[in-house]
Amino acid sequence: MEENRPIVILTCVAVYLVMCIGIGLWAMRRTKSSRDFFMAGRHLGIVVTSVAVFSSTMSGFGFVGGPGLVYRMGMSSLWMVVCTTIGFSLTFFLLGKRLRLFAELRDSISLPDAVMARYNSATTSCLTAVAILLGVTGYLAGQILAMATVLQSVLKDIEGIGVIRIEFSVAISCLVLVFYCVTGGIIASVYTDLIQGFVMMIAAGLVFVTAMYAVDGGFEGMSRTLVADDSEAISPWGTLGILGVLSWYFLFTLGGAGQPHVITKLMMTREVGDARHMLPLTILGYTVSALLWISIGLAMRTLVLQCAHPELAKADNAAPAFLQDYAHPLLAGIVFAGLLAAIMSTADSFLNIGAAAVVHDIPRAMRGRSLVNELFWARTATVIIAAVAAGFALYSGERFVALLGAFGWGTFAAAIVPTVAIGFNWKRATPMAANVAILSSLFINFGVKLLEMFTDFTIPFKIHEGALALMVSLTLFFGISLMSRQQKIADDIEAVMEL
Amino acid sequence: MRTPLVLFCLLVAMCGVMAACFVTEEAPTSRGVEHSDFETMHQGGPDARHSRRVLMLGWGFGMLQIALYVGCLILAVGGDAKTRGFVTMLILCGFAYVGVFTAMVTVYAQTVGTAEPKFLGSFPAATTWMLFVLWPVPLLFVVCYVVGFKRWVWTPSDRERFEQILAAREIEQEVSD
Repeated sequence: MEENRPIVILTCVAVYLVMCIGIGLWAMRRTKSSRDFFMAGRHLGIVVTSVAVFSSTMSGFGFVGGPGLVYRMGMSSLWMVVCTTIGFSLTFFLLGKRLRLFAELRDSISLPDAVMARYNSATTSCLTAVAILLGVTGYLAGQILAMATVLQSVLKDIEGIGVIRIEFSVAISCLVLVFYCVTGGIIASVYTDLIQGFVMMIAAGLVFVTAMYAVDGGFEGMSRTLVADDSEAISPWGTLGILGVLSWYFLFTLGGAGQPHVITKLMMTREVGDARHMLPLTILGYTVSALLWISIGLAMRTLVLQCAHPELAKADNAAPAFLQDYAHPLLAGIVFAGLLAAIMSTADSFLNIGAAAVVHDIPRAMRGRSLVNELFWARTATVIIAAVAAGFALYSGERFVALLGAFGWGTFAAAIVPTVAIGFNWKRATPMAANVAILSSLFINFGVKLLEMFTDFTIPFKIHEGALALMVSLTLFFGISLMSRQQKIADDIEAVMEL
Repeated sequence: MRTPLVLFCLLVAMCGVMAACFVTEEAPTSRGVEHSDFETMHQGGPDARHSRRVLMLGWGFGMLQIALYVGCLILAVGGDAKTRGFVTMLILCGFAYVGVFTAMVTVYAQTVGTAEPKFLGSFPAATTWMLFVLWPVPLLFVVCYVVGFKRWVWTPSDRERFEQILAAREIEQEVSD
């Protein structure tokens, strides 16, 4: 099988992509309205939603960037994994019940819809939609680029194909993604997430065992090698240091409750009570998938330090290099499919909430009503957003994509945690406080990134700008709400907030 | 009213810790430096970069974070008489969380300046605390959520009340149509 490694990997990836197209076609028959397209008719079961929640959270970053960060910085990035037990708990406590109740009461089909119901403010709803759209474009561009790079590396070893142009690779991966998102909307998205989630868990479990045997002495052997080289790398803080690491912990713990592509799924469940079972299932799925992140990163750092493997050209090559040199071809195939799965499961959710912002939330906030034939426009918007993001990914240069990427997790966290996660649980929160929190989030995340790009400015101890933005936006949100007079909330919303 | 005020105070204190970071002198390796032999890797360098002041700031930042998380959980369940038992459980879990975090920082602080960290299992002791105790300790909150869900989070009377609210809303909409 070893001599046919490239073909085995390509077959696994092709089977996975065909499966995505099949799910798209199946979901098309179940998508009859914009409510189905954006909210899956609120008929999702416990397992489907739990897997969709964790697989959307993991994203391609967890399978490529995560091992790369462990390779480069030791234990520092593990705080993004360690935070998930408390992070998902916060998300479910704050939003598991509340969001689902708002969605049913007001028939909301998007997060800004629920924001409109809570604050009764078109401005707050519109600002939420704009923050989502900005974040989506940046994140999606990064995901599309990652998807294309993975496909390129799968195809490059195939005889007769060789290295293909990145544009061609973007076109193929986007076509599959857009096909199932356009035909089946969120239904296709969550059911592909289900397959993607299981592929990720199986891949991660197998890789963990492979990594353990790739280094003499297993994890203890890795630890001893890392300690001998630099004990700080294997200390709890890794090479980044305590303050930088704890800023990540803050951002990824509380910020999880502000990721629209994740929390929107809490609005889609069949029953309010489903949240009770979803919380442990989500944590279990994420933890198993994260084994890949930890094991590959530690194994590759150790192997390079022991001179058993040549130094990597860049840290992000840790996962592909490990799979290429240490994994069985079938396992490598499954993991490459898992890698695409991780990227696509996040990208499809972004496409869906981006389309909702364009055709539903912004028109409703500005004109007071949705578009006529919303389903048609939702499908059209999905194609346009994917094309724009692909254009950004290909032609705007790495710096601009990185800048847009700054609008990702940090912006969502600082804009949406106060407005939604806190505001939906606290009657005194005002629309003005929410607006200021969203604007401060955009301003701080974008401003600091610009400063870092074009000047010598850096935040001390490499504290993450997203953590600062989240802290400031939350402080402003509480401060302004506490100092203002309580605003009138619609009677039905107020009654639901008392439950 | 009390919980949001406490959360606001915790956030102000966190901003204070951040401000202190801006006026604290950084060691040259405080955020890691390029590895001496492999340019794609970083090294932390001597652990003395974590001076007493930096460790105290880190510990304070972590403690405030945990208090904020527990406060947010309490905000979510509502701090009225009906949920007092649940809130007490969350606070107790919060103490366990704070204790584990403090233990991890203490174990690490004890190794600063020593030649080689002591191992506990397959990893240095402080790392073992992080991976095998700090990571799972918030599962206590998950247990509280699962066990207390029907009694405190979504009770049969909540369900009944929600159905009434839904029905009232439908009637209101029919009238306005």
